[in-house]
Amino acid sequence: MTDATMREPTFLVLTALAAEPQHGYAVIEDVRRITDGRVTLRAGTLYAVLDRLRNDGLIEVDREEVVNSRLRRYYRLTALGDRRLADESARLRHQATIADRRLRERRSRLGDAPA
Amino acid sequence: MTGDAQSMTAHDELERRYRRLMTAYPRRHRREYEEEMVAVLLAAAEPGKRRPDLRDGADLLVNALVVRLRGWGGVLGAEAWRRAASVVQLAGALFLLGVGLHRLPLRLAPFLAGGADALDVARPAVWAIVVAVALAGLRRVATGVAMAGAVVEVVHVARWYDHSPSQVLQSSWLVTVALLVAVASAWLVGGPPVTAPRGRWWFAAALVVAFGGRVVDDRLYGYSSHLALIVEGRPQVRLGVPFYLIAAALAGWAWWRQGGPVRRRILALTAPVAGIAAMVSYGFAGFMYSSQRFPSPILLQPVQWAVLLATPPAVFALAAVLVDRWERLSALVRLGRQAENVR
Repeated sequence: MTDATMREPTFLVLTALAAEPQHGYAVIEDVRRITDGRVTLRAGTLYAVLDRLRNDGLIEVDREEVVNSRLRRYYRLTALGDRRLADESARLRHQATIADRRLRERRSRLGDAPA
Repeated sequence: MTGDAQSMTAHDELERRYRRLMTAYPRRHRREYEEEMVAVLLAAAEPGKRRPDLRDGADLLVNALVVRLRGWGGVLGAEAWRRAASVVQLAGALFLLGVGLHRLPLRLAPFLAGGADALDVARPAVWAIVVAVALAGLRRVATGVAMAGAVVEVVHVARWYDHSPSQVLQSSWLVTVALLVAVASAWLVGGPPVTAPRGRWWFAAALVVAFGGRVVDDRLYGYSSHLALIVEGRPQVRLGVPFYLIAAALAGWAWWRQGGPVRRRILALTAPVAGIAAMVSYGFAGFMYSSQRFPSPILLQPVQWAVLLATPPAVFALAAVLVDRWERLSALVRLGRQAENVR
C-alpha cells in the first residue's frame, strides 16, 4: 500500500489483527471493543478491507476451520502490515501530540477557560 | 405461501436473502469470501430475523460496487492499458495538431490582417505543446495542457451551436478525440512512467502524409470544389487519395507494431470515437435532416444530450469488457491446448 494516510476501518482492522490472528466475526467484535462501541464494521466493509489488505500484502491467511458447517478463516498481520501499522500509529501519535500541545497553549492563553 | 417456504426456517430464509445480495459481488470475490461473509452476517444477526436490515443490505451493495470498481481499476492500471493510453495520447494529440494545422495557413493571413479567429491558432498550438510535453515525460503538465486543449476544441465547436446544431453533431467525434487525449493523459499520471510508445514516428509520418494529401486537395481545387480530379467537367478521383491510403498504411503499421494486448486496448480506447460517429450518423439521422432544412435551427433536447454524453463511456465500457472476455477465453483455450499436449 503506497497511500500516505490510512482510512479508519483499515487502521482498526490492522490493530485488531496486531493482537493475534482472528476470523472475520472476531475482528468485528474486537473493533467494537477497541473503539468503545463507536465503530461497528459491517460484513461488506470488513471483507472489502480484508481483500484489499491481502492484495497489498499487509495481511495473510493464518488458518481455516469449519465450525458448525461454516468456514472460519483466520487472518494475521504480515511483516509489511506490522510496519505500515507502526508508521500509521506514529503518524497519528505525532498529530495528536501537536493537537494536545496547541490545545494546552490555547487554554493557557484564554486563562484555562475552554472556549 | 408454499410448503417449501413454510418449512424454511427464519435462519434459512435470512441466509437465502444474504446470498442473493452477494450476487452483486464479482465472481472472484464470491468464490473467495462468500461462505465467510454469510457466516459473519448470520452470526451477527438477531435470532428469528428473516430479512437483512437496511444498513447491512446497503453496506453489501455499496461494497460490492467498491470491489468491482477496484477490480476494474486494477485491470485498467495494467501495463498494457497504460501503454495503449500512451499511444492514444500521442497519436491523438498529433492528429489534433494536424487537424488544427491544416486550416491554419489559409487563415493566418486574415489573422495578421486582424480578421482573425484566435482559436484557429490556439488549437494547433495547444496540441503541439501536448505532444512535446508528453514526449518529455512531464505527465502532469501534459494532462493539464490536454485538458485545456479539450476545452479549446469544445469551445471551437460550441460556437456553432446556436445557428447550426447539426454542425456540432458532425464535429462531436473530433471533440471525443480531444476528450480521449485528455483522459488518456490523466490515466498516465499515476503509477510508473510508461516509455514512449513504439512506432510513434510511424504515426507522425502517417499524419504528415495525410496532411500532404489534404494540402494537395485544398491547394489544387480549393475548399468549394475540393478533392477531385475533374475530367470533362466531372469529378473522377480525389488527388489526395493515394496520400490518404499511404497514411492509413503507415498508421496501421504503427498500430500493428504495438503487439496484440496493446493493439486490442488501442481499439477499445478509440471505440468511443467510432461509437459517437455511428450514433450521430444513425441515431441522429432524423435530427440532422430536419435541422438542416428548417429555417430556424432546432436545438438538441436534454434526452438527446444525455444520449450523446453517455455514448462514449458506454462504448468504451463495452469494448473493455469485450477485450477482457476475449483475453480470458483465449487464455482458457491456450490452457486447454497445453493440457492436451501434456497428455
